[in-house]
Amino acid sequence: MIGDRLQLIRSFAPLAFLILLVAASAVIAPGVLQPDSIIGFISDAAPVIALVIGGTFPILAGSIDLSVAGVASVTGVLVVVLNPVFGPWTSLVVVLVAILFGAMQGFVHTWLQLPSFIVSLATLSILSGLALLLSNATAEPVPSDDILVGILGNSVAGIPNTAILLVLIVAVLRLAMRFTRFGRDVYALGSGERAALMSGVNGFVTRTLLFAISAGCAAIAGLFLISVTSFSSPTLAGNLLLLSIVGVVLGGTAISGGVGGLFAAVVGGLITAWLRIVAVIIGVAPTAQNIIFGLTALIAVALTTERKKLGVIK
Amino acid sequence: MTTSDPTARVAAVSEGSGGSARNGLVARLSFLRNHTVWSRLGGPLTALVVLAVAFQLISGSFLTVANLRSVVEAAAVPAIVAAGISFVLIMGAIDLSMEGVMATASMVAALLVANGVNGNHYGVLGLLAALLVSVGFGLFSGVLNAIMRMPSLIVTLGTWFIGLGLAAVLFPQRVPQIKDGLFLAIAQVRILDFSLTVYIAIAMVVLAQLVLTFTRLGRMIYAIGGEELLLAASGIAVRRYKIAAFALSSLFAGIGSLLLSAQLGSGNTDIGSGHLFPAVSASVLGGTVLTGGRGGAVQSALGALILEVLSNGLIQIGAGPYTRNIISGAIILAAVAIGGWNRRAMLRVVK
Amino acid sequence: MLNWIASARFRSALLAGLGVGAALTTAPVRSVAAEAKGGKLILGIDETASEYWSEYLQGAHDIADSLGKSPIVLTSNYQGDQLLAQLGATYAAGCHDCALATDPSSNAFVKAVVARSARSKVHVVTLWNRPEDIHPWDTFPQYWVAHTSFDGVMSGYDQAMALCKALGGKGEIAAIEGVPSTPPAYQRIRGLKKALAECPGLKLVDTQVGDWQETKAQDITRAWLARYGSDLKGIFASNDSMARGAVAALRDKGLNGKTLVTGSDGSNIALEMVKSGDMLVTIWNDPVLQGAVSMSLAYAAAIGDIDPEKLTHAQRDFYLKEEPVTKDNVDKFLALKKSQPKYTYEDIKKDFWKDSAGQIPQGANDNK
Repeated sequence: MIGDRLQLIRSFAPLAFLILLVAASAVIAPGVLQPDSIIGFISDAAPVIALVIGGTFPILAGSIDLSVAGVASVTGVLVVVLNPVFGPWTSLVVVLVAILFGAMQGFVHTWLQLPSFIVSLATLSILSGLALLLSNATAEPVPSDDILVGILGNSVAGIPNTAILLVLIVAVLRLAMRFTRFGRDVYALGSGERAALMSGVNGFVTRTLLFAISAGCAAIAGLFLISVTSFSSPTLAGNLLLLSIVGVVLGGTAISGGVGGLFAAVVGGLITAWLRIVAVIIGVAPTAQNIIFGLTALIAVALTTERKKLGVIK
Repeated sequence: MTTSDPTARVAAVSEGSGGSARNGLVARLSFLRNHTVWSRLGGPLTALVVLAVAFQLISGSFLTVANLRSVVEAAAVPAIVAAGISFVLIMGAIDLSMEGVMATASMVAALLVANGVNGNHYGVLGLLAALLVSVGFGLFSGVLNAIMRMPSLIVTLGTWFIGLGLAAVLFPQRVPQIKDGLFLAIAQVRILDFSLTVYIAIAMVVLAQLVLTFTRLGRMIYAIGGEELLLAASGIAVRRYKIAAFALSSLFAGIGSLLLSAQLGSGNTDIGSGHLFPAVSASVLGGTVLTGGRGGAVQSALGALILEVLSNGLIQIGAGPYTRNIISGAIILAAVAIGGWNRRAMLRVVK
Repeated sequence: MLNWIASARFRSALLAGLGVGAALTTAPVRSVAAEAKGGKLILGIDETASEYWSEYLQGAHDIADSLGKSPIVLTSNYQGDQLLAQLGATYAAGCHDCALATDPSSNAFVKAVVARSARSKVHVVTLWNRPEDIHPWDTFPQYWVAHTSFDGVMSGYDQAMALCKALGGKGEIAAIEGVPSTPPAYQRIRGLKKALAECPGLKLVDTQVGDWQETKAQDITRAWLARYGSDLKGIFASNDSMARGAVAALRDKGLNGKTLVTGSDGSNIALEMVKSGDMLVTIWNDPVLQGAVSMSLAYAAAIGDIDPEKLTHAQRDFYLKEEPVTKDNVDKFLALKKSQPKYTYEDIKKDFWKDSAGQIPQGANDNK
């Protein structure tokens, strides 16, 4: 019994770490807790959080999707390039295209039985080439008639719409995970694939869905970015990939699969977003910022990893 | 094939550790007999030949002596780092720290040998220091992974950032030019019209393969990748082998960094940039399975050669700079798919 | 049990290590004896471990020193959204009369960086990246003080014309481009093409992307040497790093100094290679001056020494001067590198545009 309770407390370790981190920053720079700053922080963090949420799904089943930053960049480019065809609804079309692309990627990965690491690495290369080719390597203004991007750029009652959409996405995914077979299948695959397959879990369908969700979230992250920049560029999402992986792990999701979830993803995304500004808040010399980021990420993982639930750690 | 029978492999390993000299020898010999490294080279070699012939047919200038030489020169360092990362990949873990390790190693070496920025001239000692620092990174990652039980992916991601950061801290405001004759000679001395770098690369790859095939460490690395739980259950302490594998991986990255620094004649914080993902791809192309248990240094080096043929060939056929990414991504996907085709089976776990 | 002890001990060691690290690396507080009026000086750069950005910081620090201030330096690692997040944190506590000089890291983030700063009433000077369609006078004109860069077209043109002259007007050359989405990359290639039109004997046989990186340029050059051999008479490298990579590949074949290499930016090693004959030409851009001018302009607007909206277009969107460096004039620049002038705000203020090379022409930032 005590063990169970400890376990429960342990799963809140990432949240505790986040609170500690923010509190410590607030002691050094009280301004960071003002409503304006918090709102600004959340809209800056939105793309990272969306990528972390998406990236969490394949990882829950023990796969990984390295193509997320590429999808986000191509999304930005496509919103501009396809505007003459689809007009104000372009960004919605692009998100659907991304979801289809993700589904295809998941299908190829399971059907050809290729490791997701290498499949998504190859698609990352293809996507970055596509982004350059489609945009002719130029930053272009995002058309102002695009409905979804327009909405995302605004706010309701002071709360940025990006944050509202993020909450909606989390709610929908949460319901899907809670009340459909899909949710159980994902965890089953992640904690023991052979057993799951033998007990009738459809690996094809589940993985295809997982990668579709991942790409969909990445596309949303791309929309978040262009709603802030109002320009698209082939390198828009840069290397947000690494940050998003850090985020997944920091929230307490196990990289080997089976442990973690949406709550962990949101907390992990927030921690990562905070880590990248913490050096500025406490005034670390710019040359040392990467070191501090690396060390704090390691400490956070050391403190928050639930080793008991994991058998072998790779 | 031994991987299909993990218990036999574990038995062989534990026999080798505890048993008499005769038993050890038997284990070693049976390992050699069962080990199908050479038969597994077939796939990557076929890919290599197919690509080369295709590029020759399209460009007419690929299969010239001069171009093949340039491919080999360019593949030297990627082959070393691919062989190095194999130690970790075969365990089923991953090492992302390479680019950070290379950045720091290059900076340390350039600032300790005779250079254009400060008055140091420690020569060989400077190079050794750089390699020690590299090994230090590997030990750090290894300890965090094996003893602190943290996932290798995130641990080495952290070390990557730390390595880049250390290099930035060391950077002396102005690119340090290397003036140490011995250091520069690594890139400049030529034997049979190949630079010394190529010979060092071959030696390192062979050495890595020998370690993997003939030492207890190597066998343990395969065993950890195959069935780690079984190993742990049979009471074999695996931690030190894991740490050693990370240390070796970083050491190879450090050596690669020094060779590149010698070629460029300067210390460079970007030196590792763009080496990590190709190294992982190279290993997979060579037949390494990311869930562990399979692969080899020579295979990974062949994978690196394939990637170099690809990038050189795309220049030879005049592919546009943007389309290059697309074509190479597609070819890597196709090559891996074809290479793994015969392993497709129901209920096989692929992550 | 043993496991637990080991890990617990290790954790505390890690924590202690971090504490020491943080203490060591926190920026030293400079003496603020006679701090001039105005708020914080903020600098946004791409990375610290590069010669160019070190020199840029040096110029900006000169200005800050002359004002008794110590600037806040933000490093984006070439990621615009990282810069935005860091700016958000910097402005969080309010920023009165702050001045920002920054590279927005890519064209796409310029408007967002300017908008974010304008919202906090911070005056901005941008470097290098500006999309074609927006200018300081039409986008948050009160706070986007100016944009300044070096003329990439001129750089490319000067490099190519130097090749043309040295090769007697004919021969095969190949070009290595920087990160394709950045203005200096496509401007320099455009300059090259402009020169080719005037020097029809030069034949551009291939262009490859080297992403500004030494090692990539080295591999590209190797492949070219195998394909074209000594028929290739010149290599147009879009910056000095890539020129170094090209020279390294040439050196393997003993072709350094024979196959001509050009670069841009006037880095220390490039100057030495021009002197030794390994490189034909580099283009002198003065990052120290750029740092001093951009920081001064942003500060001047922040404290009201200039009113951005009263400036002319040529004062708000301009190139700084640049100059080709060949064997004939390289000694002058090597001497300049050794003893850079120490800039002060009062000096620069006498005429902010003393070293301007004129307004950025229309279409310069268009990659068409």
